[in-house]
Amino acid sequence: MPFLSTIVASLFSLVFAILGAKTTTPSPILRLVIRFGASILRNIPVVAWAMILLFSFKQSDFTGFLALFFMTLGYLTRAFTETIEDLDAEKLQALQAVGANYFQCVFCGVLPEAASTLTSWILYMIENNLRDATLVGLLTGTGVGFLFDHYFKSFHYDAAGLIVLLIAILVICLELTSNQIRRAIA
Amino acid sequence: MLKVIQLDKTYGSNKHSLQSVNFTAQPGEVTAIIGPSGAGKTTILRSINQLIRDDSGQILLDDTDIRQANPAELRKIRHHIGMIFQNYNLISPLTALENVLHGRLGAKSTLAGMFGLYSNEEKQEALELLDEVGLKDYAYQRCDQLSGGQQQRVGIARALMQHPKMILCDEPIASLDPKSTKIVMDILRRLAKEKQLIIMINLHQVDIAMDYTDHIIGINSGMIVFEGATSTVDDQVLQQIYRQADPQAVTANEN
Ligand SMILES: Nc1ncnc2c1ncn2[C@@H]1O[C@H](COP(=O)(O)OP(=O)(O)OP(=O)(O)O)[C@@H](O)[C@H]1O
Ligand SMILES: [Mg+2]
Repeated sequence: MPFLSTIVASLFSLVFAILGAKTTTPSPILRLVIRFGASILRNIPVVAWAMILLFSFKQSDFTGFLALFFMTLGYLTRAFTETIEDLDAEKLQALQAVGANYFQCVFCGVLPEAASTLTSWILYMIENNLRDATLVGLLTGTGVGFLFDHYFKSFHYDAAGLIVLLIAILVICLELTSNQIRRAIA
Repeated sequence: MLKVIQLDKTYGSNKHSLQSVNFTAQPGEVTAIIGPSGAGKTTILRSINQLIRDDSGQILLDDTDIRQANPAELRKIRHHIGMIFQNYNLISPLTALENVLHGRLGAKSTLAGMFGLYSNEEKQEALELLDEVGLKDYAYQRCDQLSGGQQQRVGIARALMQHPKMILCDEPIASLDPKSTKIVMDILRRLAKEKQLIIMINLHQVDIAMDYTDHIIGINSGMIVFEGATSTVDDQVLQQIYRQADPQAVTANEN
């Protein structure tokens, strides 16, 4: 669940970031709308998302997915937008000067230049979401949070503790791997 | 032939950055634009391919007014105008070959360009151009692993891939050491002669301009103060070009 929601949210974020970044936006109004929307999504904590979505979708995997999705969408749209805005605008002008059109500039210039930073953000977000998934799971009664809740409430503290430990180990492993990947692509 | 007529440009509501600029540049010749910092050299060059929209005037390349072109026409025109920058402006994680192939973007369909679908002939030509600028062995190297001089030569190959009528160079050697400077300037001069290209170069180094160019345009405070054959440039002309009308403005520019 945390993987899937992060990946799906990344794809949406990328599109929004390209439409919303100063250097690549097709319209300043669209840029404002996207910035505003992302800011709202980002500033609602993931726990609040879970609560809100529980009303509509009850306890289900989908609720957990959506809670992480929205929070990630807000966060990554902002991170991606800033990544794109930090790119050297002259490099994109150089492609314009060659006669490249908008889509070609984005695919041949913006994406390759930004790729390594964007990947770092996605990896970082997966780490984060894996951790948050426990919390969301507790509230939505799904995934690993559900297991923890189950053992905790039935006084199996050893099993509950093991789950916490496993999550911690998983997150640490993931962090180490993603550091490696980051270094490899930088 | 490139003919610029009565070109005017004002940034915001400020002073004129270009005032009634007139000049011509011939195929087969290297034309240098020289002048003090802030004189308007970059503005002229970027107006020619409309990276900067000028306010009024005419820019005729072989009798087509670039300023009147609609977006689709402009894309076609730009396809035949190469541009070379002080900072090379290559896409750094891509290979030299991929960057050279970008020179074809203006001629390709949107999708083929987006996804980098190049024909074997195009790849072959790109490799030959890399060979022509002495980078045969670096085709598959990432551009950020190349030296400045090598990157600039990739930039030249990218421009050549456009089958250009004209190449615009904005301080192409300002970040290069003397050896790379010589290599790059030699290539540019050779291309002008061999392929009958119009080559325009913004330069800060007067000695380089004297050694390598055929034609010189001197600009000061947005106005052309000299235009003529390089052989006719003497100390008096240089003094006129680099004269400081307003010492305060110059210090402001340098900060
Ligand atoms: N984007 C801009 N907005 C406002 N003013 C600008 C802009 N770009 C350039 N100018 C002004 O236009 C004038 C000409 O600038 P330009 O960059 O063409 O000079 P230049 O001759 O290329 O200088 P340099 O040798 O330092 O590169 C300068 O006075 C500069 O301050
Ligand atoms: Mg300049």
